[in-house]
Amino acid sequence: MQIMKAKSKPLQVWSLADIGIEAPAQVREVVSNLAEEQDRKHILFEGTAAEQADAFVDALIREGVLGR
Amino acid sequence: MAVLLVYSEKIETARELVAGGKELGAALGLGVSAVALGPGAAAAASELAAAGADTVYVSEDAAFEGWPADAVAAGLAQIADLAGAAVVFVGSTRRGKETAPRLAQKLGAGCVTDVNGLAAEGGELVAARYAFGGATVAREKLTTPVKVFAVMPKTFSVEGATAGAGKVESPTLNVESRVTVVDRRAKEGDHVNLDAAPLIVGVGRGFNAREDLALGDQLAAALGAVVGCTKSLADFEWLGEDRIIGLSGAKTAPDLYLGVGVSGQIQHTVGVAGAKLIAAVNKDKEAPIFAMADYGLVGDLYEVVPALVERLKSV
Repeated sequence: MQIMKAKSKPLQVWSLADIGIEAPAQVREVVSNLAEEQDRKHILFEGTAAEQADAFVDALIREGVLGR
Repeated sequence: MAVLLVYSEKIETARELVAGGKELGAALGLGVSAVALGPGAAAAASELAAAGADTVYVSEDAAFEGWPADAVAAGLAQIADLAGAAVVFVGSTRRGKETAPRLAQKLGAGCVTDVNGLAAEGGELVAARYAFGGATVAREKLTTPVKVFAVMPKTFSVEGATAGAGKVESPTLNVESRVTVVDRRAKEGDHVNLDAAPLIVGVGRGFNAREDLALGDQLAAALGAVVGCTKSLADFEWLGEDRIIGLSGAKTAPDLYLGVGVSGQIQHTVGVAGAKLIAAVNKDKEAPIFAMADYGLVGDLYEVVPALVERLKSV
């Protein structure tokens, strides 16, 4: 109910000049703003828990994360 | 010659920034200098030189003890003027994020924080940082003559760094802090450095109870990893806030991040996107985490994790 009443209230809009502020110079320029691209392998293992564990640990060894 | 000046209160991060700064500086025609402040600063000079700094500015002034942001910013500003710095890299640690904007204000410079990528393009530095809650990567340039970048740890690597001349200078600095340290106590609870951890096991709400996190601990121990978590688990007080990974916590770049019972919401995954390898254990094949994983194990974590621990015994 309060939200519906608020919707009909007058909206005061001020510019920076109205409140005596000079717009600051832009110091940042946005070159691009895009969703990040992730280059991942997307390998999903299958099988029992033990089979998946074996496959995953073997993968980590091949990747050099384990067994170094 | 104008220089690219580097500072972080954490020596590992400072070394990384010197190494990365040297490569970027070469592309921009800038030399690289570093700054070490506070207790033990003199001892850090040789490490910074080995990472590539041609000049290291050192001050062990008592005002820098604890690295208060106001004093550090004042000291860095004076050194930046002295050195003729056109670019300043500050490590985007908790203290660094307080310091960099203050430094920029003193230098009349633009500032970008939480930078996780930097490139020299067309004679200018272009900084990358997450925006919109991690949904996008904003690439930004600064238009001011002097530029300050707060750069995340592990953005650069010291591997292959070539040593610099390492000339040490000890300027007299006029600094004071308006902050008085009343008391300093060891933090209660556990303390972990996720930023530097090479292997991380992340735990999430897939765990049914606090005591079940012992499974995550076993897996981490078997891997030689550190345990991090989603914000939810810290909100439940199952784990301390130091273990949060994501928007509200650590931004990590480990060799391996293994998420267990983590759905993969972006507020968390923004903290692991820099990992060399991402893997996940989740019973939901459609969980968002698998869309950004290199390896996925689809199954009940209460079965998969014990199987992993068992298999890791033979490695």
